[in-house]
Amino acid sequence: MEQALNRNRRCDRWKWLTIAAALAVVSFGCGETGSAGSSPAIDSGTGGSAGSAGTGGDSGVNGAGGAEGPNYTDALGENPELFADPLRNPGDFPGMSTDATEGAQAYAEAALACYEAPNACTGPECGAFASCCVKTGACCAPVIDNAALPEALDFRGCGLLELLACAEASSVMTTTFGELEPVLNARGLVPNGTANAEGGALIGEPVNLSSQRVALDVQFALPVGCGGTCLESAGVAFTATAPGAFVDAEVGLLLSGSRELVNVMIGNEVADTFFAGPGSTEWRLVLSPDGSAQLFRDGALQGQYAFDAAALTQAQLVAFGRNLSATANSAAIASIEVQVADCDNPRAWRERQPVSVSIGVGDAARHSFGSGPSIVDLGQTKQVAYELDGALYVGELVTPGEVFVAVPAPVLVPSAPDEATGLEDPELVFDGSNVFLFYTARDASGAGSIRAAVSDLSVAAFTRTGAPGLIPAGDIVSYEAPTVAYRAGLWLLVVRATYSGGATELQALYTSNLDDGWAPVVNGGLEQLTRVQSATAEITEPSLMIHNSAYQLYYARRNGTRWSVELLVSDELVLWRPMGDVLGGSDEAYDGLGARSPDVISGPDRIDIVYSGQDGVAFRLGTASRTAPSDTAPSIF
Amino acid sequence: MSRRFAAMVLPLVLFGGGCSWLNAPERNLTPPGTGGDGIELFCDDMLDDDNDLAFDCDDTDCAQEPACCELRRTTLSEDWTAANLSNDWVFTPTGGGAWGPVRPSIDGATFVGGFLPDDSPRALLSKDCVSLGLGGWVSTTLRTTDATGCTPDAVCERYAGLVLTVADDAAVGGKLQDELAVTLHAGGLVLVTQADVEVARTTVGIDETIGVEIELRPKLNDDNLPILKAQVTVDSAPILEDFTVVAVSDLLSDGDCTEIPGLRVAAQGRGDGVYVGPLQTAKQDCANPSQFDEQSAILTGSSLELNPSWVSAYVGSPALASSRNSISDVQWDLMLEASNDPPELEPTTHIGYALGHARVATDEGSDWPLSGWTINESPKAGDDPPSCLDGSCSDNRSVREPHLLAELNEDGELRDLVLSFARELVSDPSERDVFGIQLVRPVGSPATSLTLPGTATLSPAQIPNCVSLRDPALIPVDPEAQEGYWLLFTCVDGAGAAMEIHAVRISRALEVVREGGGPMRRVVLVASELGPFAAAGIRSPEPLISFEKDGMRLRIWFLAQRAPGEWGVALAEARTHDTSALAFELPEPVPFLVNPIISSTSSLVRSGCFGEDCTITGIAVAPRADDPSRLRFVLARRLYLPGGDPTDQLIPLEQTWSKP
Repeated sequence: MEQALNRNRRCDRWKWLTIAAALAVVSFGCGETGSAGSSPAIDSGTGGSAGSAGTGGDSGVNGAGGAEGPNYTDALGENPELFADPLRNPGDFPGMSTDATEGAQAYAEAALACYEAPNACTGPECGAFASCCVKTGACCAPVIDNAALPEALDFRGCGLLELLACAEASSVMTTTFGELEPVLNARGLVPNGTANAEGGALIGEPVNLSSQRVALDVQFALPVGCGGTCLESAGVAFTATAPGAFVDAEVGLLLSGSRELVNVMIGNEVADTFFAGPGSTEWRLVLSPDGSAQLFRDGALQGQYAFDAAALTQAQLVAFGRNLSATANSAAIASIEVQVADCDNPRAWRERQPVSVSIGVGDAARHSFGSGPSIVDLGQTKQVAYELDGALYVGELVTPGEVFVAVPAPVLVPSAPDEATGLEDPELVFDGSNVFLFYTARDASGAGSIRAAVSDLSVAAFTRTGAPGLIPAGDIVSYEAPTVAYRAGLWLLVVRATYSGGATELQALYTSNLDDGWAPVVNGGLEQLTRVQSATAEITEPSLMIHNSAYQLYYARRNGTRWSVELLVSDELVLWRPMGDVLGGSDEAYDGLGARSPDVISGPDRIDIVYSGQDGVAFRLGTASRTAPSDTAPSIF
Repeated sequence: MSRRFAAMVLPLVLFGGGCSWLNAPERNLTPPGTGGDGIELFCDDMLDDDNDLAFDCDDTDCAQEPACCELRRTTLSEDWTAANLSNDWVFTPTGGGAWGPVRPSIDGATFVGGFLPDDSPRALLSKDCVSLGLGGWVSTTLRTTDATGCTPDAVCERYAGLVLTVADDAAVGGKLQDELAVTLHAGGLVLVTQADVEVARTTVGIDETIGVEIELRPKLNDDNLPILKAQVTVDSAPILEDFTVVAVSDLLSDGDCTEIPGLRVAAQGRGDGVYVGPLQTAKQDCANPSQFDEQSAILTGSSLELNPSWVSAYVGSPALASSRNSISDVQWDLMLEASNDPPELEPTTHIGYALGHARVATDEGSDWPLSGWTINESPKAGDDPPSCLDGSCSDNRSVREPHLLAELNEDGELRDLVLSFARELVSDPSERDVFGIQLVRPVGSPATSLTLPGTATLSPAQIPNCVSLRDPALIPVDPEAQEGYWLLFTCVDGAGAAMEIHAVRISRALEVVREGGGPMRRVVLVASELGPFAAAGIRSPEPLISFEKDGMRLRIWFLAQRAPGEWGVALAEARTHDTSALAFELPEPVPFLVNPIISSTSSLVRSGCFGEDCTITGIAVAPRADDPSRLRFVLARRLYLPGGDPTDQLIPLEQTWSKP
């Protein structure tokens, strides 16, 4: 769950109508089968009656597209503006801001291209979509303070200083290695390795290439009089291991003096080579968290290569090479410039750890295996809810690995007929004033409906709201696993719906007033992307979050016995881009086989997640976090 | 097969680091059905590839393939009569307190049941994993004797059944995580489940012993990743077919499953009145290319007593041939590349290589010795030293990556060795490390040095899109090689890892056969078409061809890397009944279902390794002259010892193909 995003929201439904007109010409042409034509019924309180298929709800919004599948033209026209960032306005689309119609047309055309595939964000028109900030290496936030690496190291300017003195002068820590000390001269840093072992220096502190983009600018000094046979090399690379006889250049550049080539090194092997050119040649290697390395030579792109960014969470910059005798003619590294930026790579979770629940009951250990966790940030505290034995508990996340339940009792237990078989899937939401607890209520037949309770900030006692919930109707026989986001007066709900034929799908709904019930997002792409018929490949437990002006919808997917967390992203809750697996089994014991039940919260430049880790025996609560810039999405749309 | 019998049958036998004939260690080809002129290339594509009216496993061509193999080797047989079941079985949940099953004797067999107390599921979980990754069977019997309170069409609180799992325990109060389970409920309902979700059901009678069998076979999914598919048979009737159980990569690979991954099995139940009978598991007993018998006498440059002046820093990329000598001993010819400078310097500067040749004779059935090989101190081909970092040998030219094709007479003795190797072609210093291919016959004894011809047999200038030609290997196009050979090689198309293996036709006179103005060339393997195991490149083909009366089989071992630096050994295979076409076309090799057969993390590669950087540098294969049912491999690896110094080993391995 998700905290409030308080911004002034403009009501721009008319702009959507303009877009709809544009899209009437530009058809998305997607989809075969979408929602089966059912709309949720709005319950007027516990025990209310179900609505009828396709007509449920009183918000005036039509049901989904039925058997012929979603029509995205209608989708953008028939839904209110649901941008994750309410300040966004499709009429302001870049280059078209003076004319709303043209802006909408541009938006529609761009959306066609930018939502076409998971990797469709590379097009220039996609830069305006906030969802394109996710997993693309775009919208990164430069690391300025306490940067692990120096912005610039011009070794030529160090005169006769020792390397460490030169580094200190640049406020950079270095550690030298090799049989001989690297030396500095007018050409730069001579690594001074031998035929048997490389020499050089570690520079700065490790960076996380799985979540950080690094632009590395290097100038080499070519050896003089090499004659095609000398042993003269100089390189700059990131390595994951301490240098031994050879540096494992996981990704970097290596100048070969005898060949007069600059090698692109990937995985310690030569991936490509280029003529070294004169010493003034500027080489730039841009490493993105998505695992792409782009090489530029004097500003011109030379090639793009794949490297294992996920494995380089502690990547150490190293200057290395060999010079049979360090002389004024040796190969050298003249200068290095580094720019580091934090990016949103949804696979780059760190600090994964199991959660222990402290609660004053006799079988406290069981609580660490509670299911369906939810997390909410209340400012002073973070609270976690979970389900155990059909009842819902809430405790404070006092550290990333510990939940403390002050009152050793459930905050909510089954009490109504439609809760006969228990409560599940707690979802905590903070609207700036109160804490809401949405959940699945199971009746005697096992059918689920969505209910809510509310508490003050103490979260000590929750009271059922009495507001209309969401109960199955028509072809839909069950709703479960709610996730709710609140922003600027608008409540957004994603829930799993189960059809009478056994198929399931995730559906998005919204309301500006919980007492008015929920209205479905019509003809969106979510249903089609998440519709599953096979019981052994289910999709469930969504978690919706607004981060950096985009929706991020996490959910659990089962493949046989293994669970993993996948991600969809969207700008306006209608069109979705699948980003694939983002959290699965790890090397840790408690989640070695998989992960499910994700729930995420957005924080300043970070995302926290609680989930259930799978070890083959049980599912245990776990947490993790990742760096993710929260205010770098393009400001003009 | 005795040597005398082989001599009667075979007019001519071709062996090689590549080639063999009738007595080759092949999975036995059986005659195809009538009307076909090819072979059932794919055994699970639901097509009749060779038009002989037999589809997939119905075609005898597929009898030995993992998708069709019916030969079973028992890996577990439990009759539940042991006094102490805890020797082999874990009583789960281990955290739930002690319990013990009852073991009634029914119709002469001992069953296990009485999973009491009946408040939650309990199971007997095998301590050891059973190998199923290349296919296998799990079978048992189930019986319910008391249907009280239960109906045939509903689940019941009393049940018992068979579970396949990766778990080593169950949570208290919970079931084992089931990759697949077959459970008989007290009322007669049989449920097949995965993750406790029903995937099939049937109903059986009360007080009847019901046979249950799970058949598992590996297949490739849409992403070319190996998965296990299941067929479940209950009471002789299949109730579930072609069901995806688990990815092979998710199977257990420790304990008894080190060589072939697998699962644990369990008898699980709750309450009394439902029982599990004797339980058996078996693995497929057909081809198993990923299982090797390790041999002694790991060779090094030192043990071969090669002169350090040219081998001190590196030995690798072996070639191997086996033959009979004049007194019927087994003769081994081993060639290798070596250098006095480490190959790790290649990104920095040019490193030179030379070829060495060693030979030894052993008694029939014996392993080769660690020492006593006949060698020449100088390289067979190339310079001594081949490499110099001070520029003093700038005119030296590298020779690398030898391959031997043994041509044998009817007694299995060497008629000729045909040597192929990569030869550096340099007309300008900027062209260093550009290679062509040289073919040479005869090779002679180890004492005989080779003088390189003036020009290479095949150069990159003749092969569009390949900037350098590496890793050559020859196979004959007919049993006697009268029509010549196919020359396989790695096509290097740039600075990065190679992605394709090509072949060029070579005449009996070792000249390039031309077609349409250029060499007659075919593309044999393309990395992007093979699967994720080869995503980052392929190289070093090591082919072995066998001719039978009804067709031929071509197997190609090669090195493949999933990610840069992660080289493993992979296998692809091609077959055809129409051997006459081999002079013009190579049949398309199909990758083995579970590649790589040796991964970069295999104990064969990692054993004794210090640090992360042990790597495979080559592989050679040849059928043993004294037992063609066995293939001898030489796996070359480079490992780093404490202190960081690298060393190179040539590891002998063997593999039986006629009945692995």
